[in-house]
Amino acid sequence: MRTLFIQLRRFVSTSAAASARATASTSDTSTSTSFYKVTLKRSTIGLASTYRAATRTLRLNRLHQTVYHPISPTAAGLILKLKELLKVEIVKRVPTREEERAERSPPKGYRVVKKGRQETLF
Amino acid sequence: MFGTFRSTLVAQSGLLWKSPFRLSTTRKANIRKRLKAVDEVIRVVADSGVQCKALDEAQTLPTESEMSPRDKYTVFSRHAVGYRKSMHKVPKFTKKTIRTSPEGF
Repeated sequence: MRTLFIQLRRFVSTSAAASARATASTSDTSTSTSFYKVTLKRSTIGLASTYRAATRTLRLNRLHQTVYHPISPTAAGLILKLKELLKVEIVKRVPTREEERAERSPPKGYRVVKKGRQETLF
Repeated sequence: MFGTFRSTLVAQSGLLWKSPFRLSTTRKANIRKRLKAVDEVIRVVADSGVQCKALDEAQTLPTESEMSPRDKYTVFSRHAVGYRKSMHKVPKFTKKTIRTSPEGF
């Protein structure tokens, strides 16, 4: 029963994430709806269970995880409940997985910052 | 008085946790940093243009710059001398909203 519940929750969370991405792709044309970019910066360990429940409702399952939520009073209320634990930004659209990965990875190749000893030609 | 079996507080009671009476300058700076981070979250949510009770309540809180040092670093306590104790004596004080004092205190 418990595993079923966990699987169900996993399904719900993945479908919710998919819907967030879907709304993001549709919002490219309208550009009216923006998103909260929410990152869990501090743990809920030691806090009342309602705080843990609020992080789960925001689909924040681990520390330093980032999620995107369309701007709504519901999301705002949850964010403000957890205002000591979160970092929040407003973004125009939800980045794709590739964009998220590109943001994390360092740039390819190298760039010459400064040349060493240069030999004079004359 | 001296030696291995000297009567120190640790030797007598076994376990002794000491916490400083006052907050250090660094810990006060960290409190200010956390308060500013929370102000930023409230500001971002307010900028998003939503209207909700949680936002109204959050906006009634004084911001870090509006708070007095007394409110930032100390908290009301009915047992403490002078009705104030240092903020770090409150359990989980870094994850709580403690910005105002009761009326008259």
